[in-house]
Amino acid sequence: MQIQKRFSVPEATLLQHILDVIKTQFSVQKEPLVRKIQHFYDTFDWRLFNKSLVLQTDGTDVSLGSYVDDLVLETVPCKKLPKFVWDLPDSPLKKRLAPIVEMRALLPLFALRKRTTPNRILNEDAKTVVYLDFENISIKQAGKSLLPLPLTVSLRPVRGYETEAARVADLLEKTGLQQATSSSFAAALQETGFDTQRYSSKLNVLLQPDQRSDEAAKQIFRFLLDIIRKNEQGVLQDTDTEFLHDFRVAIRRTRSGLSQIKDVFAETVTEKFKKEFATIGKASNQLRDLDVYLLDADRFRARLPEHMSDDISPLFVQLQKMRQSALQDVRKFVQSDTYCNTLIDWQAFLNQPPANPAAAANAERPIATVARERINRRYQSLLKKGRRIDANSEDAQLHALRIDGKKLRYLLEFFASLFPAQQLGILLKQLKKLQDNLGQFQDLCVQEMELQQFIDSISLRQRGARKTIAAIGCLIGAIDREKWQVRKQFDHIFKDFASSKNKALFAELLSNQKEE
Amino acid sequence: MKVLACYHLKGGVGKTTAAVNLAYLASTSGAKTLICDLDPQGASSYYFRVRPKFVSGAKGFLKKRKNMSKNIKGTDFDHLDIMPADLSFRHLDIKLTRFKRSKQRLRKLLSPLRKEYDFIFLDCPPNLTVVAENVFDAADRVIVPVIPTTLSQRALEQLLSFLKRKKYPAKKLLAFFSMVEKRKKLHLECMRELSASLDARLLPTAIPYLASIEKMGTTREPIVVTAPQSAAANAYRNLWHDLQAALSG
Repeated sequence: MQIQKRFSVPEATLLQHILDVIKTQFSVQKEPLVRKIQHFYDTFDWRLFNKSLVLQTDGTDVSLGSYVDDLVLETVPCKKLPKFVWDLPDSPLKKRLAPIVEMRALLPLFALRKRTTPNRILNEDAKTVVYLDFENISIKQAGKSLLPLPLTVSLRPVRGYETEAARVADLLEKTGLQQATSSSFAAALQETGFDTQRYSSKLNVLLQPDQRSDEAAKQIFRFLLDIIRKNEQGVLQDTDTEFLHDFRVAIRRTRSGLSQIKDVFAETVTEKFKKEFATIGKASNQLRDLDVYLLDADRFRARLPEHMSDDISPLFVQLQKMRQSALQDVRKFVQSDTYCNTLIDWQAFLNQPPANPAAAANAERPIATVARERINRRYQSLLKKGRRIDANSEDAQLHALRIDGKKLRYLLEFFASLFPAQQLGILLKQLKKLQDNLGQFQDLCVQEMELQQFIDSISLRQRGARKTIAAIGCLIGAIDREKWQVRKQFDHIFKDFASSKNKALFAELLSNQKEE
Repeated sequence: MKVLACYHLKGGVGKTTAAVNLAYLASTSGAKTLICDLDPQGASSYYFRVRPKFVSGAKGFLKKRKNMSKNIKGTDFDHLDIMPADLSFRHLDIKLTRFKRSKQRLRKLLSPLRKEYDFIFLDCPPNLTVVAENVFDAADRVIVPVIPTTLSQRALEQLLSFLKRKKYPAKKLLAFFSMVEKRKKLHLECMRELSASLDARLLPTAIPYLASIEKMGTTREPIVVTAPQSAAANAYRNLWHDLQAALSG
């Protein structure tokens, strides 16, 4: 693997000195100035950054590089970067990018204006053995003036001439140059302050074990409110489907927290917000359901025999239409007084100092104790409900178990900072396995039912209606078979979850909190 | 990935200049290209200013697939790498006979590079030994420069009958006229005769005999780089187009 090294140059006058030092051992050939503008992109939740990758376009190619050293890993000719990865030309770049970015939109960050003067460092055969690029880079951001970065010298090795590259690097270090931190993108990112706003939908709330429970709960809710706020714009602009998803998860967590972290706020307050957040959650149910269908379109098609896979298209056309109107409803709702007032009231409440005297029985108790009680209660209830499920159980029973599982998972995530990370990790993983199975089952149940309803809405007079109905029928069959397979797996997955080993782990977790 | 071999059993027919210029033209389209210098004389290595040295020699080259990748060097041009030759490659045929499936050895050695490169050009030594058989086996196309003279024509006939006897598919071979001097009557006559017999296996572009091509020995760069507007550069560009058409056809 070739490593590119960058050095920062404090003063432009030093450049000549650098060349003079190198000329004591090599010949140098200066190349003409290269002007380039590179535009950089990432998803809202920094998926590429988190994998140390950098996506850029220069008007002719799209390339994926390394955050660490400006090295280009994959390139594909493409003049304009599409918003979604699936619209890129088929290429190794797309293949590499797709599983990371998934359904998230590629959003512009900033552009870099690069003025590069490459110098070829030659050996005695006049063969180029390493490139030394003098780089003058400025950051271009919409509506802002150019922001210059410090001058840099980059050492670009040539394959098979690593010894020479190391010799040149030594010479540079001897002139007193300091190695610059990683890539020009990284330097620019730091300069623009983007990294301070890094977004993640993952819960990350640091609680103190002896913190008052009402304060701790507010801290969790403030974190969730922040996520809700950060996703509003993306929901309104329909940038991609994950804004709504993260928005909804934060709302669901808020609702779950309100009912799970019991007796920390006055009952009137809890009841008021429980009701209002339930309304907010419901408002986008339909849009999310439709998103899931449309994101899964390829998988639906794959379930059909090949000659029928196009017959299902009218279904997706119809769903797309329905999505447009569902989106309008959600937009209207997010801009409505109902929504805005709830969030303003909620924020005001969360910023109030703790009520004195305490508003509820648990308000003043240490959060670690309350957390332990709540988790234990949910865990026992989950085990009890799970054990009652057998081959004859109704679908609804599995659904109820799933809801209970979710409540437990949210509690564990809320209070993660109070428990040893490793133990908690194991339990969350086990719980996730169970939840995945139950979730899959639930989704298939709903899809089967909804597809049946869709058949009723098709008029036989429509063109190709019979073919569409046959295809949907075929799909229902496939989904039903899949559903029973998933159902069959439940028994051993639950058995794993309820194993004595896991029970012991839970008991240990609940007795043995992280000591401060 | 396509493996393209520049080969003739006769020396001095313009194999290396063709390999160097065609490989360079391939790389300018952005295709990752490698030129493998199998000729112990190391002429294509010389043209790219790379010392003809293969660490661990002919033995190491044949023994371990990894060695090839370790010896590859970047040329002065983007997307174009070279695997330099080594003087010890003169013993390749003797060393090859010690391997099982000795005629398929080169294909095996090239296989790890399939992922990395779009084109691999083989610059081959002029002989008809087991090295040549490896080249015929590994290459998707064998590109043969033909000087339109009686001797060269005879050598081509020998090559064709050899390929037939060894049952290599006839369409693997692609010929083009090289070092053509249009003022020579013999060249023109010879070209007429050969065009008829080679038919579709003959690429339409002929490379003329030009002093500027010989000058590549002093400039040590592809002529397409040093004199991009010259007749020679144009001829190689046309030849590359012909070759691409033949590959996609």
